[in-house]
Amino acid sequence: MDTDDRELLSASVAAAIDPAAPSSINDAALDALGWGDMLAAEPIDAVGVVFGRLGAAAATADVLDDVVGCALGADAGAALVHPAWGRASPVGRDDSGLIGVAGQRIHEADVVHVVCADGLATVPADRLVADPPTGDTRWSPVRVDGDLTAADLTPVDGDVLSAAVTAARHALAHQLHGLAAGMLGLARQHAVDRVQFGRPIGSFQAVRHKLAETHVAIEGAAAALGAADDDPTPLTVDLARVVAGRAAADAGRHCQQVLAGIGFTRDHDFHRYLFAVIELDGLYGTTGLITQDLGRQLIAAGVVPRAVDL
Amino acid sequence: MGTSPASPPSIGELRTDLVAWLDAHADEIAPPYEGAGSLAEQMTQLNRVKRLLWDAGFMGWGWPESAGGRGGPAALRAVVGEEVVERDLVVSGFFSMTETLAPTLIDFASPELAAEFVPRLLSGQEMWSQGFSEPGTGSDLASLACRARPDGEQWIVNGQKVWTSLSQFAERCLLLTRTGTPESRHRGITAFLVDMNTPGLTVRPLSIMSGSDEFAEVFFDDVVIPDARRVGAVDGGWAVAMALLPFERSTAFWHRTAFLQSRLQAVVADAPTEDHSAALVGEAFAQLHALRCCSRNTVRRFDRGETLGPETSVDKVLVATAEQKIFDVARALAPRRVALPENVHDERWRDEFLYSRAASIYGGTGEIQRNIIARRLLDLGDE
Repeated sequence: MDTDDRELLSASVAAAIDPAAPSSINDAALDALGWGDMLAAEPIDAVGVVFGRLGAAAATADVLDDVVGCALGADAGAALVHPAWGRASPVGRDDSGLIGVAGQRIHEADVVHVVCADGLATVPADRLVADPPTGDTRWSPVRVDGDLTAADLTPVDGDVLSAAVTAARHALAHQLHGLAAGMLGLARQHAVDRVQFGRPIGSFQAVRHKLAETHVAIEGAAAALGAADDDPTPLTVDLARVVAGRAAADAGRHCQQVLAGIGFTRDHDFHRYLFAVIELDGLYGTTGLITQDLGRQLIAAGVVPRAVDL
Repeated sequence: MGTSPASPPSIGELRTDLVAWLDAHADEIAPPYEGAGSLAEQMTQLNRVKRLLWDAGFMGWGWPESAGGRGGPAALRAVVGEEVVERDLVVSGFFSMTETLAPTLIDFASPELAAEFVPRLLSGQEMWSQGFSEPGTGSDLASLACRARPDGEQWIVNGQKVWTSLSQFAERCLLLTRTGTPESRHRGITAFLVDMNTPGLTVRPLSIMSGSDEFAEVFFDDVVIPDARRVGAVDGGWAVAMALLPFERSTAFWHRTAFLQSRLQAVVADAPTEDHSAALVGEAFAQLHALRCCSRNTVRRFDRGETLGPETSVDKVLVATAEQKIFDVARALAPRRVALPENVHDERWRDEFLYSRAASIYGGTGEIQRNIIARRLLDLGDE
């Protein structure tokens, strides 16, 4: 995809987000843009644009199912149960060969595919139980009622499974970056508009420096994402995911402080962004867990790789 | 200089040749001291390494032929510095001074002046310093007061500079002087390349926190500088000072990432494996990665001929953040070697930990960078 194609797609995705209900994008509108074909043909570009836009609007869609499903060879449009919130990777079978699955469901369907360590388990949706009964989140924690056995599994190669985890983290990194940029946009506008002591609060250095700090974090994430898009290895993607996760956390902290009282309400859009950052951080590994895992890899190998070079 | 092929190598070709050469000459080029070495030893080693690289033909890549170089994009210089710094052959900040001093002369001095002096700097024959800051002029560079008065074909300089790194080792100094009225600010500044052995010029070294005499005060008492040593137009010195920035923030910063890479490598080599240290190492690695990705983009934009502007303040903040993070982690994992060094290696950690505190101060403080980002990149208007 060249720059023009990416910009065109980006604008189309933005247009598919309903300003009246920005928290969820219309999946049919994405399909109409040829999302499924793009995901199969040019996954890196397509994922970057779509998830970046979703983040910037604090919107959700079922598209993470498509990204992981596509990587695992599931049918287009398949509904997945992802690894449980906070888990870095899917669960495997225990000593007795059983899989006690608890996971995250994003969209409803009659049949779901549970992402397990050895493959995909196909399960009728009526075997899923909400666990715990869902509260005020867009993610539905579920578990499979009863245990799964090998017979329920369509085996998937270990390499394919780790590629799917990497694909998920790549998508989430773009979404977290988009969320950080979206928050900075809101806080910057507030700093320009909001007058106290007879001047815009954006004229105070303390406020300016918080926004500048956020900008630096976002630019770092954008550069790390660029490197991951150019050469999407598990290392570059995990690094981009961690840098984007930190940028989103920094943006949440600084922008909320700048937005102050209004940012603490549900009248202002900011809360949607903060919720999304907090919730997304637990899919396919938290920023903290992936960071620790990267450190462990370095210490074990005794080497700091040049993840990017001139 | 070595043989001069018709066209410059690619980055990959240069790296392959250079790595092979560095491996073949490892014993010859290694520092003769253990640990960090004294400042004088570091200077001798710096000039020796530059000389060897120059003689082997590597030091000329990325510099224009008019100034004694061999041509090619600046990224070639970034690679040479990276390999030399990552192997711990030189102090990265000292090696990178060439990156800011030489381009200034090439772009602003007369072609004769540049052709005469730049090769001396590149080849390790000479060391130069940068006389910008003054006791009353830190972040506010346009307030400088060290005065140059015209006197026929020469200038008479009186005043004082401070924080002029390595002045006692320098043959020459790129000096900013006040030639306009005191109120003329950035419009009344003129730059010169002054010989450090000129009568009336006195250097008093200043100890930095780690104990090294890296800084100096320089006093000017009726110091005579020929007009032929003027760099840029009369009252055009601000442009000279600002022209340093794209070089500092592309090639020199890439060199710095190599230094940080090698020090994080040293941290990792003896880091314990428990969760806490893995988390710290991971955080430092992620910070360094964000910096390297940004810096790589900047070097590439520079080589494409794009103008580097206020967006490089982001790189500057990332360098400072990554450097301080890496040495914070180094200290957190082995606090004793910083607190109570027992050998030259510990002393190096202590020195570098202390030096890293200055990463958010020199070259424009972190606050100045954030001011630039807020005004120029976020368009927040006036304070």
